[in-house]
Amino acid sequence: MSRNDVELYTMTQQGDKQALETLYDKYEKLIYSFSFRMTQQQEIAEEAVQEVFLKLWTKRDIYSEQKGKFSSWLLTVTRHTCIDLIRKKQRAPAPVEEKNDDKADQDAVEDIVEWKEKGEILRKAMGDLSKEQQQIIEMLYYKGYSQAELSRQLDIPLGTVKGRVRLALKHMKSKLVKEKGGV
Amino acid sequence: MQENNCERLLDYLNGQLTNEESAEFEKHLATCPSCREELEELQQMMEDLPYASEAVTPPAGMKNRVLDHIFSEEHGESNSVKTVIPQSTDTSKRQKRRIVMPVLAAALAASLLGNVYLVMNERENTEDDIPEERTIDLDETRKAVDLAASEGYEAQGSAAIVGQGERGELIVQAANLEALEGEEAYQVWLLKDGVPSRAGTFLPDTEGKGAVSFSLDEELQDWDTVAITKEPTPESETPQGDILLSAPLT
Repeated sequence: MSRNDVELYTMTQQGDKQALETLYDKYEKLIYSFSFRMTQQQEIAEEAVQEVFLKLWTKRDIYSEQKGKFSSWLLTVTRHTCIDLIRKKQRAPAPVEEKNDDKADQDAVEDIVEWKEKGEILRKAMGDLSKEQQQIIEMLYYKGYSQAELSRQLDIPLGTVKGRVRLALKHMKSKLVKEKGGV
Repeated sequence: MQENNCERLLDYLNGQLTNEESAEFEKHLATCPSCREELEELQQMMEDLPYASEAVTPPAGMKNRVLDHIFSEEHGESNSVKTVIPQSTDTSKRQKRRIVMPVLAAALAASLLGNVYLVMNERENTEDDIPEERTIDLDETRKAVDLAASEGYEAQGSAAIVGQGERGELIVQAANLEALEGEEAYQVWLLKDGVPSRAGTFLPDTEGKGAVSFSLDEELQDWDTVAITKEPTPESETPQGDILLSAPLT
C-alpha cells in the first residue's frame, strides 16, 4: 500500500531516507517545473528544488497538518524559496510571458492529479486575463515583487496595489470556475 | 499603526518580511479580522497557481545531485546506513567530499556495509582517533577479489573497489579472525610495487568478523595488492605484523 504524504513526511523526520526519496520522486517534476516557471533558469530551479528538500530533511517539524495539505504547503515553501533565490540573484527587468513549449513534457504530470486536472484550465484562465492583470499576478506571485516594488513598477499608489492584486486573482478565479463548469 | 500593518499583508504572503516583522504581523492578524479574511482569500486564490506551470523535464542527474547534497547534511536522528572511516592522512580533503547511499544500493555492497555498521556500533570509539560518520553511494564495482589466507591462518575475506568517476572506495570484509588483545587492530593495506599504504583499520566482532571501507579519492592509482595484517596499535604506518590475508588487484 502506498503511503500518504503526511506519513512519508513523518518518516522523513525520523531520518528515513527512502521516505524522503519517495517524496522526492513524487514531487520532483512539479517542484522543478514550478521553480523553473518562477526563476526561468535551469540552475536556479535546481537550486530551489535542493533547498526545498533540504529543508524537509534538516529542519525539524516544519510541517504539521494544521498548515493545510502537505502538497500546498510544499508549494508555498517552494515559492518562498524561489522568491529568495530570485532576490539573491539579480532581478530581471519586468517579465514577459515566456513559453517553453520545447520543454513541455506531460508524461510525469499524470502522477499528481491536481496538476493533470487543473494545469490546462489554469493556463487558459490566466491567458484570458487582461495584459495588466497577467502582469500583476506574474510580478507578485511568480516573481515575488514587494508591494513597494509593484507600486513603483506599475506606477500606482502603494495603497491600491493590494486591491489590484486581489482583483486580478478574483478575475482569474471566476474564469476558472467558468472553465470548470463548462467542461 | 494598524494601517501600516495592514499594508504588510502582501509582503507577508510572499515571505518577504523578516522573522521579527512576520511575528509582528501575525500578532496584528490576530486582532484584525479584515486582514485575516483578506489573507485567507488571497491564499485560497493563489493555491492553484503552481499547477499552472508547464511540465519541464529536470536536468539530467538532478536527483542524484540533490539527494547527494541533502543526505550529506546531518539529520538529527538519522538511522541511515553508516560507515566509519579510520583517521588517516588528509582529513581536510576527506571532509570536503560527501557521498550518498541511494536506497537501491547493490545488495552485495549492502551486506558489506551492514557488517560495518554492526561492527562499529558494537564498539564505542575507544581509539584515540575519532572516526567520522558518513553515508556512501556505490554505483560501480570496479574490482572484487577474494582474499587468500597466508599459511598458518584460517581467516577468509574479500575486497572490492567501488565508486564512480574520480572517487573510489575500498571495501574489505573478513571472517574467522583471531580475537585481538590490548590495542591491537586489523589493518588493511594497499600496495604498489611492494610499498604499503594504510587503507582502513578495523576491529572484528565477537565472532571474528569485521569489515571496513576506505576512501580512495586521492589515491586512485594502480594498486597491485591488497592485504590485511594484525597490528599492535591502530596507528602503524608500515606493517609490523604478518600478512594474514591478501590478494592481487591486477
